[in-house]
Amino acid sequence: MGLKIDNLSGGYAGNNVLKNVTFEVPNGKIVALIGLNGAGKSTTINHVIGQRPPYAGSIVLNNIDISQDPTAFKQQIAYIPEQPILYDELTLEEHLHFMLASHNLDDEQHWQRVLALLAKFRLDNKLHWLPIHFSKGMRQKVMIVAAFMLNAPLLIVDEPFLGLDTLAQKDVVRLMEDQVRQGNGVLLTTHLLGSAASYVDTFVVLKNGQVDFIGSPEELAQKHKLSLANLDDFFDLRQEGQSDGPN
Amino acid sequence: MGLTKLFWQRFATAQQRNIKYLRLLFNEHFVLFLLIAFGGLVLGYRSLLMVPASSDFWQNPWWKFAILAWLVIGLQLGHLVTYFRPADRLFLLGQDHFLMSRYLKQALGISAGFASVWQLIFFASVWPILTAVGFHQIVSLLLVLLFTVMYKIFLLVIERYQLLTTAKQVANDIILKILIPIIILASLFWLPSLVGLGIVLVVVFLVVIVARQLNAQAGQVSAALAWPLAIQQAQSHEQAVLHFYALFAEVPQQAKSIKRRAYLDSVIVWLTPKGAGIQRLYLTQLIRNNEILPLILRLWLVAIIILINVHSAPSWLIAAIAAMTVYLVNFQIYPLFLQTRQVLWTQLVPIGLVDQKKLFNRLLLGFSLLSIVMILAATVTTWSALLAGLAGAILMTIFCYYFYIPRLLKKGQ
Repeated sequence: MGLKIDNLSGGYAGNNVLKNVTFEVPNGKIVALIGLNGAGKSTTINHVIGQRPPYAGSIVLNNIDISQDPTAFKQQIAYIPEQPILYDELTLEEHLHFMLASHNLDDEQHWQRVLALLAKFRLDNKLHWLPIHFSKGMRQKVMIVAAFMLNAPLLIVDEPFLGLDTLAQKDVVRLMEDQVRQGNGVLLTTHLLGSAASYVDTFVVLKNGQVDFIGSPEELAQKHKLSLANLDDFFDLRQEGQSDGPN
Repeated sequence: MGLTKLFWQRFATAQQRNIKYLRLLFNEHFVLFLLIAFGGLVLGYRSLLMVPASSDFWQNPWWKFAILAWLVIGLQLGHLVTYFRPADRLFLLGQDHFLMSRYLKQALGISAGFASVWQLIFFASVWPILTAVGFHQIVSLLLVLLFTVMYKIFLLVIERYQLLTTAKQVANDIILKILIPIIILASLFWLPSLVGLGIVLVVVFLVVIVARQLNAQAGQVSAALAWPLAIQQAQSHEQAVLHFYALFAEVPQQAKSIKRRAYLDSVIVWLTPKGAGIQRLYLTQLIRNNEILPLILRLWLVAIIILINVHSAPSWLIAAIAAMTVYLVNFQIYPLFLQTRQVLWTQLVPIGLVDQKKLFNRLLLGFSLLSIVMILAATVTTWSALLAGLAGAILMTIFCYYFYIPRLLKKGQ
C-alpha cells in the first residue's frame, strides 16, 4: 500500500514529457525523485497532485485511483510546492483554518498540533498577518506548517529547502522522519543528493521523462562509483555523459 | 530589438490592448450603460442649453464656480505614460541617459498629446455654458483653453522630472495641481480681460522657465532614473486603465489590492457556517478585496440615487435599472471565482469543482438578494416603482442564478 504509479505517460499542452513512468512510494518510506532540469520531476508531481490528467497509466494511493475519485485521493495528500502560494486576502490563521476545513478535519482537535508547528517555525506570533507582510522564507514556512498539520498519508514535497534557513531545513527533515514513523509516505524532489542520502530510503532517477534508476542511496552511489558524501557529484557525471543509463 | 524603437513598440502594444478591450466594452454592457446613463445626461444637458442666454438663470455666480471646478478636475486627468515594466530595472539598468533623453522624451510627447485632448474635451463640454455666462469674446475663451493645455503639459514635465533619483519636490501637490490653477482660472473668470491676459502671460513665462530647467536636468549625462518609483508609476497607470475596462468587461492580469477590514471578521464568521471552508474563503476574499467590494458599494449607491430620482418614470425604465443593478453586481463578483481557482491551493483542496461552483453561485445569490433589499429601499416611495423595481430585480436574480452564472462558470473553469 502507499502510492503506486504505473506506466504513467503524461505532460502538458500535448507534449509527451513522461513515458511509462513506474515507481512506488510505500507507506512509511521516503522516496526522492531526482533528475536534471527537464527530466520530468515537476510533471510527475503535477500528475500526482491532480493538476493534470495522465495521458496513460494510473496513479493509485492506498487503493484510490486519482482518475476514479480525485476528491478522496486529494483528501490523502499534503503538498509543499516549490514556490509558496497563498491567498492574498487571508491571514496566516485563516489559511490554516481553511486547510483544516477543506480536509474535513476538526479545528479544536488539531489546533494544538498546529500551534506546536507554528512555534517550531517561529510563526506563532504572526497568526494575524496577511501574506503581503511575509518574507519568501516565511511564506514557505506557512506552506510547510499547512502541509504537516494535516498528517496526511502521503506528503509531497517539491524542493523542500528553497528559501529556508538551515534551522528550518533541519526541522523539515525531522518532521518528514516523524511522518514516516507514523506510517505515512513522503515523495520529494531535490537536487541536494548528498544530504538527502541520510534520510531518503529510495532514489528514483528520471532521465528524459523515463525512470533511469530505482534504488537506495547506497545502490545509487555504488552504481556511479561515488561515496554517499560525494553523491552530489552524480549530476556532474550525468552531464559529462559518463552515466550508464538504460540506453 | 532596437532601443530607439522601444517606446513606440510598447505604445503600439498598449494601443492594441486598448482596441481589444474597447471592442469588448462596446460589444457588451457598456453600450447599455451608455444608453441609460449618458443618454439621460445628454438629454439633460440639451434641455439646459435651451434656456435663453438672456435669462436670469445664467446670472447665478455659482455657474462660474462649477465651470472652474470642472476644468480643475480635467487638469487631474492624463498622466505621464511610460510603459516601464518590472524587468526593465534589470535589462535597462545601464541605459539611464538613453531613457531620460530619448525614451521619456517620447513618452512625454505622447502623454502631452493625450492630456491635451482631455483638456480640449473638458473645455468643449462647458463652452456653451461659458458663452451663456458671459464669455462672448473668443479671445477670453481661447485664453482659458491655452492655460489649461499649457499648464497640463507643465504638470507632465514635473512628473517626468520626479522620476530622477536627484529630483526634489517642486511644490506641494495640492498647491501645484489645485490651488495654482484655481487662482489663475479665477483671475480669468472674474478680473477684466486685459488683467487676465497679463496674468496668463506671466504664468506662461514662469512655467516655460521652470520647465526648461527641469528638462535640462533630465537631459544631463548624470541623470539617473529612480527605478522603483518609475515602475510603480507605470504599473499604477496600467492598473487604472485595466480597472476602467473591468467595470464592464472581463479583464485578466488585474493586480489585487487588499484591505484587512478586521472589523468585518465577525460578519464573515456569522455569515458562514462553521467548517465551511470554501464559502468562508470566497466571502473573506470579497470583503477584503479593495477593488470589487468598493465597486459593489458604489454600484448600489448609484442605483439607489438613480431609482430615487426616477420613481415617477415609466415602470419599464425602473425595472430595467433594477435588473441592470443585479446583473452588474453579479458580473463584478464573478471574476473572483477565476482568481481563486488560479491559486494552486484551491485546485488541491479536496472539494470538487462542481461543489466549488455551486457554493460560489450561492454567494452571488446572497449579493443579488442584498441588491433587491437596496432596490426596495430606493423604490418604497411609490407602489408602481416598488413593484417594477422588484420585478426587474427578481427576474434578473433568477436569470443570473439559474442560467447566466452557471454558464459563465462552465465557460471559465
